[in-house]
Amino acid sequence: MELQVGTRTQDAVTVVDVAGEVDLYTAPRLEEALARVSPAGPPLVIVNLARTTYLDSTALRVLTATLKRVREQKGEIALVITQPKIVKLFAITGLDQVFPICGTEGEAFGRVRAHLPRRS
Amino acid sequence: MSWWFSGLSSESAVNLSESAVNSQGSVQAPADVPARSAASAAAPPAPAQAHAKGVRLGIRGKIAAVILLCMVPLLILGAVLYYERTQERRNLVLRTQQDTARGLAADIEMFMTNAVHAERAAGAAVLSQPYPVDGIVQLFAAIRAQDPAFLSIALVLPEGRVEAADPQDDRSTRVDARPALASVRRGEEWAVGPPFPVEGHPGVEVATGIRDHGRLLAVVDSIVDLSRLGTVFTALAPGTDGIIVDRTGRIVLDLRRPDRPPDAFWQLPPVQRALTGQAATIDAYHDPLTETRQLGAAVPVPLLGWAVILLEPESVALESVWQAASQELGWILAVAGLGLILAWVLGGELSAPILALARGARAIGRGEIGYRVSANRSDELGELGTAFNEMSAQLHRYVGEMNALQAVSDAALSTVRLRELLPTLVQQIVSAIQGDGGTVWFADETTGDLAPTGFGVGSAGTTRRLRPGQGLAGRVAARGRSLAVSHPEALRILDPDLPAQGVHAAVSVPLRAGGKVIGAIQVFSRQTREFQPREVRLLETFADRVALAVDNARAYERQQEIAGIIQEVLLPAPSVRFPGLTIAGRYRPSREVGGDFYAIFPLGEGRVGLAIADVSGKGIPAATLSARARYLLEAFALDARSPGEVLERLNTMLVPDAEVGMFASLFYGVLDLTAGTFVSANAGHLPPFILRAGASGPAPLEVRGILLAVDPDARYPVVETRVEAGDLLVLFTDGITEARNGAGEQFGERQLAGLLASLRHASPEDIADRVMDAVARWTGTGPADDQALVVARAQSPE
Repeated sequence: MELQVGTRTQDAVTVVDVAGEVDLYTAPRLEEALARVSPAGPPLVIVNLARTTYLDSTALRVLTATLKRVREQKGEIALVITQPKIVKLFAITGLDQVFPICGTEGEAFGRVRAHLPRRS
Repeated sequence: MSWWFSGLSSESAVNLSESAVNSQGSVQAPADVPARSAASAAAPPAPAQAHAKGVRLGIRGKIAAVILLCMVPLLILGAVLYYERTQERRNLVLRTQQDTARGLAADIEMFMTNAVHAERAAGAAVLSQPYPVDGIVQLFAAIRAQDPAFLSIALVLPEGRVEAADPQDDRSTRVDARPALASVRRGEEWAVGPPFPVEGHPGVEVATGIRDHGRLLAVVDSIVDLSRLGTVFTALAPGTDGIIVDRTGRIVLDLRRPDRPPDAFWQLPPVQRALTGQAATIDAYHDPLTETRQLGAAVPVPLLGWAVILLEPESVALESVWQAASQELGWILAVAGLGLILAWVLGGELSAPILALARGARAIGRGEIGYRVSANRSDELGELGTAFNEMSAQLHRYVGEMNALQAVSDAALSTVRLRELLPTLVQQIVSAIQGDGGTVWFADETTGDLAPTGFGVGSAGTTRRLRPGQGLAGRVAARGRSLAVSHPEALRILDPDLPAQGVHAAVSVPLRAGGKVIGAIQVFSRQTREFQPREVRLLETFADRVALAVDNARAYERQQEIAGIIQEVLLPAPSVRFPGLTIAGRYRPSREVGGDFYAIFPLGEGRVGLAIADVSGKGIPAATLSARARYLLEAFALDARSPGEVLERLNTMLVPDAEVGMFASLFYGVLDLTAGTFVSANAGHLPPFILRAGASGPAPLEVRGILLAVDPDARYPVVETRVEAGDLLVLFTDGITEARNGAGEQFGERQLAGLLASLRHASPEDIADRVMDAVARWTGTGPADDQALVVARAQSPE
């Protein structure tokens, strides 16, 4: 399945929707979309992987690099994951320990917003 | 009359052909607006109405409409002529009838004159000598016998007494009611009386006076049979009726219809006119006896003051007229039909190439660049078709050029496939500049010789190795400048081999990368032709991109080579034996070398370390990271007791590498053969399978930990599991489970588990081979990602 990446901004939170497969060949597009997220203040990012069917190690690298960058800029990132395969991938790699992982977008909004007042 | 008819018809024929020419003329020059508006003003604007209703008229319909409009005055003229000619024919018929009637009238006069002469002769004869009455009667009988028209003859004395008569009956002897006799006695020379039917014969009284020096001696009074009239009456056509009326209008004789009432024509105006001495035609007389319309004529019989009427049923009289008329109508309609057919054919002739052009335009719109329409016409439409084809061909050439350049740009991005793509690319550029073949040479880095690459198309010059400056390509490579040779003689001097191979013109451009000439491309033509500057520039652009792609590919190949060397140096032998343990390891690198590795190393005291890892990324960075990870792992493993501790230390060392965005998944376990335990920790790697000797299928060895080089504070828990003799451990990377088939489906852990279950009694060597084979069959082509597999089985102590 072809990768579709869409970006939208809602209440200062950037939501990146990722649908399809992210692999060695399509990961650059996800990387590009995430690189464009550069607000004035601390970045608040939600990557919605609810419609993502496959992630390979390149994709994980893009996500961990983004996590590193967002945290360095005192922002927060949360992932929305519902697909069992993706849930399992995050469990195996242990990345569920470093990424806030949510079942719904609403929950993810709660996580990144909760981060904001604490910082300001 | 006949020349008028023929003259008229030839004139109308000329008109017809002229208007046909006119209509064609106006169709072929449709921009002739005044002519068209005049035509539409002269006739009902049918096409305009059709437009108003939204009906679409094609070219064919419009031409038909224009020709039809042009034919309208013609048709009106035809109708007028047709009407006039029909009237003319009708008048001719009426005149003929009048002539016939005159003939009848003359007949009657002659008949009567003859009767009077006969009477006078008879009278003179009987009065010349003193004939006895018997003699007179005998003479009269003889006269009657000779001329049966005399029904009776009587000799009447001036005082009114009948002297002699034949026959001796009332009709001869009774003379009291005889108007003709009375007239003669009053002084007339002769007289004719009113109808005097005798025994069914249409008789009439004729009296002639016999005089001597003006003194009336006697009167010969006879009844004559009008049915004995001459041949004109009897020769009348079967449907035609001849009627004689006397001066009062009463019917004296009706040849065909004796039962007609005597006063049937009394008040008919033409008859009245005839009785006044003027001939007249009878137009549309309704005959009450036959209920038919009849035509005819009434002419006077001047001698008697009578009239002759001729009547003929209209249908019979005008039959020939209608026949001629319908024939002419047929001609008019045939000409009109011919005009329409002409319009249809002409319209088709004009619209077919236009429709073909429309189809062509759509075809090009759909992307069938180079679509051609047939243009075998000598007129403007043919010119349009030729222009269309030229446009299409140009478009095809431009698209071909663009595609050739685009394709080589794409190929430059996908450096791996350059060698596969290059022949197709050369083919594309050769057809884009319309050559017959092309050759690519790469320069040997040490000698500078040009070696043919085998990426050419067409046979000429593909196999030769050229020294610097030798031949066209060698010269181009040596000077670094393009050269196009269009003249066969010049080509013979520059590169004698090419004309020998049938090449008439050639163009060669250098391949330049990083300021160095790395080869040359040459395109040749087997026909004498000139390579345009535009084409040379196109070939140069192509060459620049090919050179870039080749340079990229070479750099990439070198990198791959180095990465492959690192990887191979790192890998342990595929088969390792330890007392009480059989181990098989397999590694199959993807085309782009990745960072998978496995390690098997003894730790002393009957312990063996087993590790499998997947470093993210490809090429040299991945290979070097995996080398570092592997050496550090072995070093820490010898040092530390717990796998968790080993991974924590390894993570701490590798975290700085995450600066470049890299990480690694790694599973590490220590198998203690004497204690029968396997203690392991997992840094984000796929859990290995353990297939116990007594179990039906493998189970994952679950212990979780985060990927290496992500979290500097990561902690790795360990898990300890019992390993009995015969138990099988299988470690693998995601290159195995995520290998995809043609449909994009992954090989998957479930399939791997099933395969392992079916191979549980095989040796680790066999299991490793079978698993690798199954995955290779699944993907069909080479692996997209590195594949690593370790299979280990504990053996029962011997």
